[in-house]
Amino acid sequence: MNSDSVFSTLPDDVVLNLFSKLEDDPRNWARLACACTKFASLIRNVCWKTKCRNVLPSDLVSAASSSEPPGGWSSLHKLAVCCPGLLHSGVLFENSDFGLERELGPDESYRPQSQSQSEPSSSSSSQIHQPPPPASDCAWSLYDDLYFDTVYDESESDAAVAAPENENENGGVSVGGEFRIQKRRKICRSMRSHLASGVWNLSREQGNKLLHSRFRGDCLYICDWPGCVHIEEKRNYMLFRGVFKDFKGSQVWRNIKDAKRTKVDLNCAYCACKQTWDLHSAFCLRRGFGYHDDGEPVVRAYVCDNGHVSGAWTDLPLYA
Amino acid sequence: MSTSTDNNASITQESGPSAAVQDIQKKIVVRTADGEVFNLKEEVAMEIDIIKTFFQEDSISYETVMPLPNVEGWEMVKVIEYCTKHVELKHKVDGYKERKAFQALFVQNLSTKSLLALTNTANYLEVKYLLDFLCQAVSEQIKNKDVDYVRELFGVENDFNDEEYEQVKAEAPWAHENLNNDLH
Repeated sequence: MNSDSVFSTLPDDVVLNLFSKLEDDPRNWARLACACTKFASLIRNVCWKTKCRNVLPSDLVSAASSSEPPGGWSSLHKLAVCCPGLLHSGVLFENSDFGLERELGPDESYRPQSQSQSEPSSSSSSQIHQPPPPASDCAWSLYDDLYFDTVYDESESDAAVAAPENENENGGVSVGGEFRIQKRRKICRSMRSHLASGVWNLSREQGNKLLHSRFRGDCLYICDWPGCVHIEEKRNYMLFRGVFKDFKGSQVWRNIKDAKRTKVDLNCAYCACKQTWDLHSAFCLRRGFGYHDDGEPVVRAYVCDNGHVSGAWTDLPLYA
Repeated sequence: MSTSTDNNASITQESGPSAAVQDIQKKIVVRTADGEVFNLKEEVAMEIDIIKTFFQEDSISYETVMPLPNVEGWEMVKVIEYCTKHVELKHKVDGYKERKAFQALFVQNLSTKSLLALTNTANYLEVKYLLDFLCQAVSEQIKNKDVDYVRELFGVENDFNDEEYEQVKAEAPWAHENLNNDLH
């Protein structure tokens, strides 16, 4: 038998049956999509699409429309499973604080960052240390997350500090405060985008917690708290990602356009957009998050033309 | 020197009715692409939907030899093996462990390419549970393999142009690390 001709006779539904057995680890589909255009098409138009429809909130992925979400199904799937990394969430972005300075004027408590060329993983002002080797993901097992530890213990996240804005509407999820990471989870220190730790889901509830109350009408879906946790030298970053449903119809978009905001050179982790808007300096985020004493904002978030959002929470400073 | 016509006669000398039932059971005959002929027990043959349909839909006599031009001899052997076990386990209350052990042995000496060929055959013959099992087995094999391995296995060419390929690869750089290509 000529085994070389196997694929030419292997019908699509069998190939898809095979692919469906590999859905638990997003790396498999991502690799398969690189094999040939036929596989890429199957992965994009069937696998990722079906997975999004099954996993994401139904109002986000309106089943009625057969058209692709902005950025395609690959972007949406990636949003569900992929952390933007310190890079795309703006933590390493040099100019993010200069933007604030333009908005608010000089601030005595704000000291300019000396991040310069090498990009240290935190905003320490005087230290410059080598960035970790970019190719090394830690030896973090995907299956640890899936089979052992998919839910953070939220009772642990009761704020040990007084938060200026107490957002306990939904029972105990405060901004900032301490949380305990269960020991079985290893934390990934990758700076670029990588598979996120935590549950792979997006919810509107989380989105509402991020935005200023006047944007309540907008549909922003953000991953569950605390997102992908990055423990860095100076502070911890809870990196999140999300997407607006119908971004161009949203109030946030109107706000950005009316105020004639300029984009920053931070590209989106989820699509080809090379620039994004800084939601913090556009005053789209909920008030009261404030800054750390080294000037770093407690929360930052960036949105691209397709409505993809990347950002980072940090713990609230002890003394606000 | 008893011939097959003496079957019944020799059976009555055997112990018990179950042996008799088994041997009187009808056989279905198929011929594979390489000309090999197989006699299947009826209950096993009926597990294979394409055969079942062939004989039942038009009430074709079991004397007809059904041609299976898309199936090789070795594949038929494996399919019969699996379906026979499946039928046997149907009557058992707790066959889980036995099934698992059997499945492990079943795939043991098959290369991934052979597994894939068998998958195709299971699909053609329409044996759903076998198809499912084989897809699972193949997926286990390709889990941590890189793109080149996958291409070679499925016999596909990289038909992206450079730009497209870079783009699709850049969508998930984290997917291409820590791979192994053992068990080729």
